[in-house]
Amino acid sequence: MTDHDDLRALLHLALPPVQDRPPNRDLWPAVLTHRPPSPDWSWLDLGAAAAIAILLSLFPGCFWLLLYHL
Amino acid sequence: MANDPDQAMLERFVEGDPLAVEALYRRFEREAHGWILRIVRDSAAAEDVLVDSFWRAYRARARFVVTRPFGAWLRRIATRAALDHLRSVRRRAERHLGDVDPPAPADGDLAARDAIARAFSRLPAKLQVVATLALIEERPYGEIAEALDVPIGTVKSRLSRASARLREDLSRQGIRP
Repeated sequence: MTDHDDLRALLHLALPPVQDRPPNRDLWPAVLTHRPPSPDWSWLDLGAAAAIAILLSLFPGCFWLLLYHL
Repeated sequence: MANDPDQAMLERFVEGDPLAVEALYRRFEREAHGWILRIVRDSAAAEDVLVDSFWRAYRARARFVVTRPFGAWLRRIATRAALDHLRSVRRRAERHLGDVDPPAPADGDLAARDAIARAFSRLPAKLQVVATLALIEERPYGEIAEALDVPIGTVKSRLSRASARLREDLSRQGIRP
């Protein structure tokens, strides 16, 4: 890794290596109650939902086919 | 990994046994926290990412192969969670600040350190992780490759790209490594 030695020395001036240490508190209760943020709907999701809604309004019979595939 | 638990406990983890899940958390929390802290470099963020990582591991437990090392598997999940954190920090910063940097401190050394840290934070998250682990934390390429689940060649190429970007950014500010 000698190609980067100069850069490494410079980076260490501003960003020294961190000291390994345990968390400051017991995080197990937080793991138990953790809920990830719900993902934002992408344009693709919205487009697919709109397409399904339009399809079902035009061809209500497709509902059973859709239900079968779910 | 010497710390790896016995297969029976791992099988219970895969089945979702709460006692096995907690036992594995207790056994690996320090190691995972240390790794995440190296990447995100912020105590509060490291704790959040640790919680998220273990939750992700629990959700993905059915895909874990009990004959493989648990520590390495958890580290890959933690690395992905840390990368996601860096990306979300970047997105938030871009929304609030655009490309405008805050004013640099007047003191010479302090200003240089600040400029270096800012140049580093401008690296794309994918390159920043590799540069952090290889250049700042001085971790071996093999360990970084395993954590990122990429070949060693990819680590080397990302490090070269990160290095080139940093040199260019720093030289624009009159700082030469």
